[in-house]
Amino acid sequence: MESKNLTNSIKKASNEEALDALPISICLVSKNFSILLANKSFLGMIGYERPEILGENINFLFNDKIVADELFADLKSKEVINGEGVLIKNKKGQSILTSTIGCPTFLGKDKKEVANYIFVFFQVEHFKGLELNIKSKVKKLSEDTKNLAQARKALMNILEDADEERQKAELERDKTLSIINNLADGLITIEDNLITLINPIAKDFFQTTEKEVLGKSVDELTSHPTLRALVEMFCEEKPPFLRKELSMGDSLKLEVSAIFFGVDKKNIIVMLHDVTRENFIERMKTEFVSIAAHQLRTPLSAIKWILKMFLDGDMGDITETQSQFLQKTYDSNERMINLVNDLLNVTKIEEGRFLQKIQKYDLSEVLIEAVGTSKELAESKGLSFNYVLPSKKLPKISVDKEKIVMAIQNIIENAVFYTKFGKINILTDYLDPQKEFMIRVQDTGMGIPEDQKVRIFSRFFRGAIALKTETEGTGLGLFIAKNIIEAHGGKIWFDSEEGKGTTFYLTLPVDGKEKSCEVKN
Amino acid sequence: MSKKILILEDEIIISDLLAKKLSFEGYSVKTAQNGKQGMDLMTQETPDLVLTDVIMPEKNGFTVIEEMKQNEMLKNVPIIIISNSGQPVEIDRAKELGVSDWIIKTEFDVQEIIKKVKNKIG
Repeated sequence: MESKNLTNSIKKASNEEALDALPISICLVSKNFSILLANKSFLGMIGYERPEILGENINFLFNDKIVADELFADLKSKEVINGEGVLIKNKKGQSILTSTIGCPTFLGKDKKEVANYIFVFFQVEHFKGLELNIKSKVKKLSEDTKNLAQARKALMNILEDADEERQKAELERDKTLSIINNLADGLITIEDNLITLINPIAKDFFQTTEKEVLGKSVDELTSHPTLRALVEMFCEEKPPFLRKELSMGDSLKLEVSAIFFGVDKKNIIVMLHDVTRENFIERMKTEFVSIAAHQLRTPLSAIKWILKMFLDGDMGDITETQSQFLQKTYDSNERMINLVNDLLNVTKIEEGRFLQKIQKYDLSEVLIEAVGTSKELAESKGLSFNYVLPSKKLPKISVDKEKIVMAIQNIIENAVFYTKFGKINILTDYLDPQKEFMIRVQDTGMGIPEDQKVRIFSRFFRGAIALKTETEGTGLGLFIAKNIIEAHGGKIWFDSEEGKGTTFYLTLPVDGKEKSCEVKN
Repeated sequence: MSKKILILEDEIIISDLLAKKLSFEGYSVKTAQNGKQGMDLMTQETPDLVLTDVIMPEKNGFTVIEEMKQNEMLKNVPIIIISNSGQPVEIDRAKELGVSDWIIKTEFDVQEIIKKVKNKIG
């Protein structure tokens, strides 16, 4: 008996220790609901000492007797109870909100007879707190999720827009690339002195590939077999716009148009236009005119000779009237001869083979020849004609004498021709720093109307006033004169006031060579 | 004996005119329509003066002149060129070959040509 009690006591003691270690409030009651056992947590919750409550009916704890009775009734019917929000009071009289769980224990394996009831109490405050905490956290979480969803939606929209823009940009880029690749002309772009683009036509012109060219600098390309000719055109002094012909041998002639822009003009857009055929046609045209003009000379000569023979009396005597008519015919024929001569000169200019013998001469020599018979002619018209010859001590000029005389003569003859009264002055100055001569031909003639000034130097142009007064003159004179002067490296321009007079200015450099481009090293 | 002149010119109107005028002045004139014909006539009978065009069929003026200079009988015959045109380069070349005058048809009339002929051979 003692050992059994001892064993039981020991069992009981160990049970109690185990129960006390638990953090949940546990209370064991008899089937009459008197408290048999209470763990530390339980005691702590209700604020009583163990001796105070042992043997007491547990219903003293419950605030609401009706709720307690219901719970007990359920327990008695061998059900497990779970009372949520059950109020119990502690020693101080404070109410504690709990979840009360009750569970019957049974005698024997058949569970027919109740032995005890186990009560477990959870303080809901904790729960409530936890629950509220969780609820608020869940609320925040769902808000956050909502925000995230919205943010994601916004992001998706942005991405869609960005994608759309990207597609648009790609489309534009493809369009541009397509245009560039299908251009009938060559296109090369240079940015910051590096080649950034070369289209198929340009690659073809220069028989090169993107690999050879892209990313290379202009300087590097001066050693490229075909492109060097192009980059050599872009010399130190870069104008905003350049248009020049580039010859790639006999089978390809290109017209190069280049626009320079940006800082230090390091950005260039170069367009290359194949003018091989155009040049060919132009040459054919020029050749045709040349041949035609040559052929015309034979009958013109024959007419000239025969008419002269008549006028000289070689064909017998002629009457005064006959003589006059024949003279008019002769003069007409002479004009045709002059026109043919001019046409041939024009073709020579176009073919670039106009200047022939370049030698050094004194300008005074040239001027005397150019003045020729103009002085007498002017004086016979009642005009005063003055000219000052430049000193022989001044430098000689390198010119094609025949052509320069032709040019200056043309201008002087125009001055005499278009002046009815007044004077003609010819002045020359030597401009030392520029090393060139400036010749001025001033007249007090009919002048050039404002709207005609632009076209004065074009082929076959004759001023309106000139047309009204005389029918002579082919209109080629000034075109040819301008070409001759410019071919020598000089310039020609004029001032004029209708009804008052005209002054023509010519410059002729001592050394007639044009400036050449130097390749940057 | 009248002096003999040979005219080499493919334009009949020109050669007829010149021939007529020169005959009138007392010269004995023969004409050829091309360079080859001209050379043949020259070798048959040495002329006192040759008036020749430059552009002609069969043989052009320069070739004729060069051949004349190779020929013992012909190398001293005075030559006057009458042409439709004259580039300085060509004129220089002709002068080097011994041509005494280069006349451009449209710039001279017959009278002046005859003066030149008279100057050369009297």
